[in-house]
Amino acid sequence: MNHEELRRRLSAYLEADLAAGERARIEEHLAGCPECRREYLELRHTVDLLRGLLEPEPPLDLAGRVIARLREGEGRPGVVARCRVRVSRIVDLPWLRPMATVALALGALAILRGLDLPLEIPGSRRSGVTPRSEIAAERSAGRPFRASRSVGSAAKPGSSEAVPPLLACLRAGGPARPELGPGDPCEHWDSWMVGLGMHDAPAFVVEVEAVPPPARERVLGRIGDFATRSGSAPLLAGTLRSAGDPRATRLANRIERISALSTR
Amino acid sequence: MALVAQEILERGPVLRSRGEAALGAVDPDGELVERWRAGDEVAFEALVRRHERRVYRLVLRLLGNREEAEDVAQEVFLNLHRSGHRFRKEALFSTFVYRVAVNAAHNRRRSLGRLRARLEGLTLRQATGDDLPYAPRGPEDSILGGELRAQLERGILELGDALRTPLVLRDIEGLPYAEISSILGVAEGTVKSRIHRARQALRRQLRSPRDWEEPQR
Repeated sequence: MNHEELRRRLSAYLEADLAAGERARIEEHLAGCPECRREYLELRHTVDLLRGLLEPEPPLDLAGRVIARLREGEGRPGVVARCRVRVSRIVDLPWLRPMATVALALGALAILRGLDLPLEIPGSRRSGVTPRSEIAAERSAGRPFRASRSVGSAAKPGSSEAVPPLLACLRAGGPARPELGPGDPCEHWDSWMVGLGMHDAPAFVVEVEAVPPPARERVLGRIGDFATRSGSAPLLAGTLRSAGDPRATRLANRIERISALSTR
Repeated sequence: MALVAQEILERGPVLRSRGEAALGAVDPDGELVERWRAGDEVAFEALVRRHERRVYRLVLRLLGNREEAEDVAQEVFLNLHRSGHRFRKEALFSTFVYRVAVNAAHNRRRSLGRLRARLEGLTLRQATGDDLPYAPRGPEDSILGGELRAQLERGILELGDALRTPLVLRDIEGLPYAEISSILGVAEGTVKSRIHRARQALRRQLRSPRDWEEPQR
């Protein structure tokens, strides 16, 4: 052990904060090195002095003065802090903690749904494709699938559109019908689908696959054309690809090819 | 030389800090804190009385000025009362108190300006000679002259915050490294290294051939 190394370890040696081997090496060095021994004694003496300093007495009735100020209303928590204290008194009850956690999670979920934000929870069922049987059950029960989404009469690129119109479209025979006149429930189906695809890729896959294969190509053509016209094709394809589902990836490739053909 | 080596081996290197408390122990303030959080203001007043000495002592060591220390100590308790909801019981209440006190003292020093605070401290000490009182604790201390102790006090105040605070918490307040690390929000290794640097700085300041002669046969 050299001098520099030893000097760096002197405090640890003083506090017996070293392994036996290192302590022995330091003691061996100190026994043979007057300069390091002097430094060790100086350091030890300094620490002895520090630890021997008298504790200064606080002024008379410091606590009394603090308490008087508190009683006069100083040091009161603000409104937000007082609310926190009250909530923490409730939440701190051990049996209420799990319930509070669930309530907070549900509240957050409700807010996010209200804001119409995408909710992708890794590992949850929502991150995969929703079983078709569930959608069929929803439809047969007359309930709109994912009915919490907002409803709009005309699609805006990049926005999620309502599923109730999709249901009306399906009831009217589906989007694959060759001629869709004004006022047809499927008139805006392509824009709804683009919105849905950018909002919820798994649901988009389910909706597209719900169209029978002979008509699916035409349906995809409509979606691709609308996405190209609205400039949302790259975003739609990207969202579908990021879902990590091979079916969504195939649809993304298809939409990109349609978009490329439309822009030539 | 042989005597010194013998002294090292016999006396041992261990320096026990005063009042060293084990972390993870039951919080002695726990019951009062619970009562206070449940709305019992008398419990908080009891906490003030229990901690007034240590808060005042710490801020005085960090600020070096009695008036400032008293003012800051009062603010510490008002802040504690104001922000008690932030105490999460993961640490001892006393650790929380120290943390609030250290922050208050650092803020005060910053607001005064480091240089001004230092000059004020020095001027006051020179004028009164008693702003940081101490008395002999034992035979060893009693033979140390007042000048040496004054040098030590001056040396502590002349250290920067980063070195002075862990040094005071360890060597004067006697806290364990883990607690100091929790109070200051820095790693334990950093705390140890800063304390060593602070001790070395003080050692160099105090050094004089007369004071540090090796014992002679």
